[in-house]
Amino acid sequence: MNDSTEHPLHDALHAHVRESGSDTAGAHLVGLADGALRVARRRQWLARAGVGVVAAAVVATAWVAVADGTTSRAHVVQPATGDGTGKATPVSLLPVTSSVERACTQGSDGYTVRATATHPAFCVHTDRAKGMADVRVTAAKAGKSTVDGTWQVEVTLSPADRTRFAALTGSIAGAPVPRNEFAIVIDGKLWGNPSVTSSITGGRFEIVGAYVGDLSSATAHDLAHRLNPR
Amino acid sequence: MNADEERQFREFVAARSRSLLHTAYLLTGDWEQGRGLLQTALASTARRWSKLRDREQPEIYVRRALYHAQVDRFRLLSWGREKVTDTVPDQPSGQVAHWADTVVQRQDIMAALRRLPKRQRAVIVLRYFEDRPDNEIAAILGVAQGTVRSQTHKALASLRTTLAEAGPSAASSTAAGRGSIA
Repeated sequence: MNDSTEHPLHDALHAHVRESGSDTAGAHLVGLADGALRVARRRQWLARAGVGVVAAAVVATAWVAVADGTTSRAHVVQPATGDGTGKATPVSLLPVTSSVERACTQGSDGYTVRATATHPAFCVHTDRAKGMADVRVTAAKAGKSTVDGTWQVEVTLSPADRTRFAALTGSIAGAPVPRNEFAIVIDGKLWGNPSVTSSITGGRFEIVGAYVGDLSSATAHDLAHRLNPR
Repeated sequence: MNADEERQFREFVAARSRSLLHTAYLLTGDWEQGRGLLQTALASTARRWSKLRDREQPEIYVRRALYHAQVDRFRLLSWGREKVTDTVPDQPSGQVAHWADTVVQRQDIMAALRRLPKRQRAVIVLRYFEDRPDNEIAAILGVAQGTVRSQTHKALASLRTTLAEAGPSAASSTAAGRGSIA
């Protein structure tokens, strides 16, 4: 194995960084920790946008409280069907109109995510009319992320929904935060609000844990089972 | 994250961010983009802080996140941008000697790096800036050691070509040119 420190490229790279960064590097360090903490708190999920995959954050166990409980239309929990041939649970993909760091007020029709030890509560409002309501996915598969080994559910949309999803994500991609996010709503609960940076044309997205351990093997498999056509 | 953890996180950022920013800069080729990439990786680190701190590996995690964020972007966005070249990547190791001449043009090094596919750029930065051995590079990028070596060869061949083109007036351009177009 060659010793890289003796390679001229080593000197060239270090010299380049030293020279080009001597004035500017310091300025770019200002506020870095604050910025990172803000992003982490805001739960601004990194969308691996582009060809086809969105990483969606999910709060799996520490659960979502439905804000109002009285007025809302969408928050009806699906009753267990008695005939045993229950259909797959539908998913709604709704553009976010607002996202604030507190529980929703009584009577609003937002989705509240309860505070956890590491995150504040927040309230997300969506524009249901502009979203894709009650989508039935063609496949949902639980698996481990190749990036950090956390559990996730990869969801595939039908060709028709793929086109709608590309249009939806394309329409919000350039919007300011949080209007560049869409909410993933299943059974009246929010399962994440990833942001997108460009139209997602591949018809697939991932529902991943927001932080390590959010989505366990059991919860990921359960979610995949509920979403899958049967 | 509680107040204590937040303080620890800030200390970590204060201690390590300069070095991390340098890496991010080389990966992206731009200070502003490098800062953005680093902030994303740090946010991801902050979310997992208590676990990472307990295992004493926030730095390993954040570096991995840097490389993955960058290589993922490459994977998703740059299909087809990777150049197919008929240049044979494997060069005799004796070629290393020519580097001393070729790399004189320091201002060109970033332009040459930018022309590399992102994964190859990542391999170069890990090996020649962070001075990591092949097995660590393979672990960080999640690829086989053989891949690390082949990507290194390809990258070095491209860099030689680019730098030879960019600096034909350099003292020993003929030697460099011969090495790269073999």
